[in-house]
Amino acid sequence: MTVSLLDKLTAALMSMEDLTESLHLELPIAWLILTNGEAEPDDNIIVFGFEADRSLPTLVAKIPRSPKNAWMLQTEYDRLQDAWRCLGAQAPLRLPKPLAMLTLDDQPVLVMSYLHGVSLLRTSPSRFWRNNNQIRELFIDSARALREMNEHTATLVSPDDDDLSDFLLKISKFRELFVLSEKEQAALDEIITLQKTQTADFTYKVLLQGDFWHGNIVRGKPHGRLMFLDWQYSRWSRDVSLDVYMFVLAAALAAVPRRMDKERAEDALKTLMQWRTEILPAYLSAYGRPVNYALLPARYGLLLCCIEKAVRSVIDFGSNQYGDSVWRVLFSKLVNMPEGGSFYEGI
Amino acid sequence: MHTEQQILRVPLDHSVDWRFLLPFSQDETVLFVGDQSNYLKKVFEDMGFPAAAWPCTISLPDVSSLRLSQSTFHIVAMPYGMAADTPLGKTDATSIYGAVRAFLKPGGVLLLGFNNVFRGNDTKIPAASRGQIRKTLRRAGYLAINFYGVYPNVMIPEYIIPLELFPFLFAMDFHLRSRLPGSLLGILSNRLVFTGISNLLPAYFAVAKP
Repeated sequence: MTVSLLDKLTAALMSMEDLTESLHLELPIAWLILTNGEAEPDDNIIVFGFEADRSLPTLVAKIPRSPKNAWMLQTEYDRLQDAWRCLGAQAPLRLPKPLAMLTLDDQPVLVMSYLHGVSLLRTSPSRFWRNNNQIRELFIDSARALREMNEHTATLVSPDDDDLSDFLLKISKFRELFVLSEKEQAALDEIITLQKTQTADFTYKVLLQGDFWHGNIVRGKPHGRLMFLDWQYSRWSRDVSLDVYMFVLAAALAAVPRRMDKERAEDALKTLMQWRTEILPAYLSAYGRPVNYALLPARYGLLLCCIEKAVRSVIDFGSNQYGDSVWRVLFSKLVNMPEGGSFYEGI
Repeated sequence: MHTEQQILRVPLDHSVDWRFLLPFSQDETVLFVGDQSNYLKKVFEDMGFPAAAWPCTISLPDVSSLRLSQSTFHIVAMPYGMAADTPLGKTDATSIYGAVRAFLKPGGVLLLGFNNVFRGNDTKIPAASRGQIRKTLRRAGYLAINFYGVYPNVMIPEYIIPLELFPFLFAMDFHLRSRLPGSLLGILSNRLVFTGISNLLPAYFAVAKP
């Protein structure tokens, strides 16, 4: 008898007594497949599980398009478990609950609880990015929520913790893939020095979300608090710069028209300059200055995000994804900022 | 000379997510029939699933002479239907699905993609109503038939929707960025209205068992 993967998923979940008891799952479960249209071959598809006569899903299952990408889901499952442990009673207000990591028909499946809310990506059309008050509010809200989460997950580092080698691998891949000017090479050297000296001295690590941008944030209903999705790039680190500055850069890129990489990066840079007077200081001030873990100065934090995004898919999947190259261009623009001195002053 | 690198590759087809409606595994064999069957075979073999292809260039009388006719499969998949301008497409649909049924192992399953009838023949995907497909498949010997709505099309679906009220409403609301007014949601929540609207989706997948 042949049974589809989704039927096997239902059967597997129903056989997990602790799960069915805590969620009171009721059969049948109807699975809605969000295949995400033309998303990347290495992306996941999302499957929403509806119990009988429930108007909202109870479950969300993530399935990688390519079964070889099981590691992504395992990372997300493990790190979400870490986060739930650290956040305690706050966790249901911030995160999906990791329920099961399964292998069905040789296909990995991560099952989580559904977060009821409105995606900031979906409430952020182009007109949103023209309203500075709304942008400021979103930035401050996100910064506070991120800081709160970081404080909850802050944990003493152990002798085995090594986030430096992963960082150095990315720098090395960046140098391998791209032709860099002397100024760009020097900027990379400066970041390495900072990471090896200052960052390495911090005694706490925090759980990075790893892809912290408004598209991965939901405003929860009914409580209105920001909730965080997509933990597949999550990791422990002494340095929170990736999350803090990724939010800024992704917002700047979202705020400009989708054009060729060079023009888009230039437009994003102009946007950052417009935000420099009020929005960026408000954001960084709302996040605050951590004591026990590192937050790089803006210049280096922004560059670090560009490096990560420009090489991540090549390292993880062996090939570029659509949109990767804009990060390389943005790196160049940020290094060669005409008014670099004043832009980075004090932040 | 060091140059900037873009590491690209021939992408895995994104549009094969209908496979989750089916029992794909390394132990289950699949036969792709029709347009792009050779390409689909390659895609699934790359993912580690054994597959065979029955391209659309052959005609129904050729089937008996095919080596493939000695084999049976857990799945026969025609995700893009059968293009009307191919030898098989010109054959009576009941005969095609009947011939396909002979390739199914006991308990095997057929996947068939088709456009809704109102889309006419503007693409190579055949167009029919759910009722017409149900009738044809029954005539060809398929007794258990389930339909899934597809949006926007079977080539690159964005949503594969069980034809039930709440998943359907959720998909609409999700797609429209939560902008559906509450009053309209209320109207659409009426099961009679839903039954009517569920017949208006642009395309469907049928999953059928003999």
